Amino acid sequence: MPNWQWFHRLGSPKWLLITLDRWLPWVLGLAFLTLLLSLIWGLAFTPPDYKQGDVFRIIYIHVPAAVVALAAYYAMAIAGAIAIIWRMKVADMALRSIAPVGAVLTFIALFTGAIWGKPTWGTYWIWQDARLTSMLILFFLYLGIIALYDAFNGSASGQRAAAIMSLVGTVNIPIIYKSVDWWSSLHQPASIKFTEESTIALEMFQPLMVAIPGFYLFCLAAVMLNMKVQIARHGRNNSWMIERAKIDS
Amino acid sequence: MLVSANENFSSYRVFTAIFFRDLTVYFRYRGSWINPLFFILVVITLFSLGFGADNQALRVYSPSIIWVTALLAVLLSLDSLFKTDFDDGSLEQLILSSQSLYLSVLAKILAHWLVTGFPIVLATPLISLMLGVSLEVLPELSLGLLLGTGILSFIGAIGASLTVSLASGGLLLSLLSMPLYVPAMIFGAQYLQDAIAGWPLMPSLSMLIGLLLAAVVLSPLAIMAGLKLSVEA
Amino acid sequence: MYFDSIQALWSMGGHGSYVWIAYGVSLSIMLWSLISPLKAYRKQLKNIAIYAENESD
Repeated sequence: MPNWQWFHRLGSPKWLLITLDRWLPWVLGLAFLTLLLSLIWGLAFTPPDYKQGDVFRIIYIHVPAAVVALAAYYAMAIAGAIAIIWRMKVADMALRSIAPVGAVLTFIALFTGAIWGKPTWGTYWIWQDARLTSMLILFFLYLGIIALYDAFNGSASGQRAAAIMSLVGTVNIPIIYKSVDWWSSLHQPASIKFTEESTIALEMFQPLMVAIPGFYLFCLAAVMLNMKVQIARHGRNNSWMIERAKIDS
Repeated sequence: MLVSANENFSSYRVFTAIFFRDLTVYFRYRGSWINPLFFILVVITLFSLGFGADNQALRVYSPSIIWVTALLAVLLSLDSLFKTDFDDGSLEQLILSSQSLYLSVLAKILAHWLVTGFPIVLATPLISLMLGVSLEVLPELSLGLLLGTGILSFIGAIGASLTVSLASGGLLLSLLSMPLYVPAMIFGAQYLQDAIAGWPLMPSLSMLIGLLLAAVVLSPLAIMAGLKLSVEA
Repeated sequence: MYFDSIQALWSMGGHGSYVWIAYGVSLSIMLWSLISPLKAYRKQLKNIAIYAENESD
């Protein structure tokens, strides 16, 4: 008989807030340490790429941000599905908490991708790069979901609307990615080749393997902080929340 | 009993009843089918003026111009898809009724497409003339727009169902739908380009048909959920 | 360290501005996305406390 107690506990905002407070210092600390380690390692202790030189060091931000941004979208959509199926308030809060973090990570992936593009491709933006273009569309999806949620002024309908939209987006993301990929392969100028993955050396790869968990931890920490805001916002009339507010402030 | 009173309404009859009722409403107000058409002609005129009457450039960029204008025309018209029904409460009745909401949604979108998307398809000869596209590819262009406006209507209706309860949902509807339109836009513009250049059409055409079929089958599911939450709002 | 000096680390073989701007902007945005919910939470708690006080009066 599986123990479902933890699942039911998740439905209690009070328990969740206490748990978040208990775990936050650890997650934040671990995120800080792994990011510090991987980024210093990547910036100063790896040899430069023989073709691109030192610019390739942007990879330690760009790739983890892109990976986690996409993973965050799926996490958000799963929260949306749970919110629709079980009508769980906490899942709605999770959806709203993940969305801005995902948008921030997508923006970072886009920004670093553009900066990386300047010295390597000679231009900040190339539409033919399927990954960058898909990231841009993911960014629009995130912004649309946040705008939809907020347009309903935090009512339950807005939460459902955002959940439905995130699920619609989940169906669409693979189609969008594949179509952009197909389109870019048609329009790719012959002189530029970037689909061909250069085999990355192990020494360069190791910091990346630390940076990706680091970004996951950062994402988790930011989502947890956002969750606290959502819990406070939704529980502002509950007695335990008022008690807590009186003690804290 | 209420249920037995509804039994003699077959799904088909409900579908046609909603379809023709919507068509009647649309045709009572001429603007509902003239305005999207007028919009697309005005935008194409603006594009032509913007290009400085450079006919060569216009012909080269005509696939994307046609697609972006058709997309905007459909998007702007979608705001009205569920609005009046939501305001007068008939949407709530539709949801509460024992009939399949899936078919009702399908009928509503089809009627709406017939007065907004289809006139754009009929205007293809005019659009081709304005952009200097050879009339020889007219059948291909029309087919592309026929499939394309269908995809745009069905996908856009998802956003329309989610924002119908909002006072100013028009801009939000566009923001939500645009990312979802990317595959249709890519394959649609590619199809037109292939047609104009005389290249093989099957790859992009089959993708367009696939997207349309997926949109017709899947989008009503999201639209139903969207309408339900909008009525509850 | 791979680089010979701090200057070499800073200039990154002429690509320093790209790398440091990418890192600087990204890390500032990440820091901001941790601080802003923290501030929002504090503000929310304060509002709840003020509101509760006014109610009890």
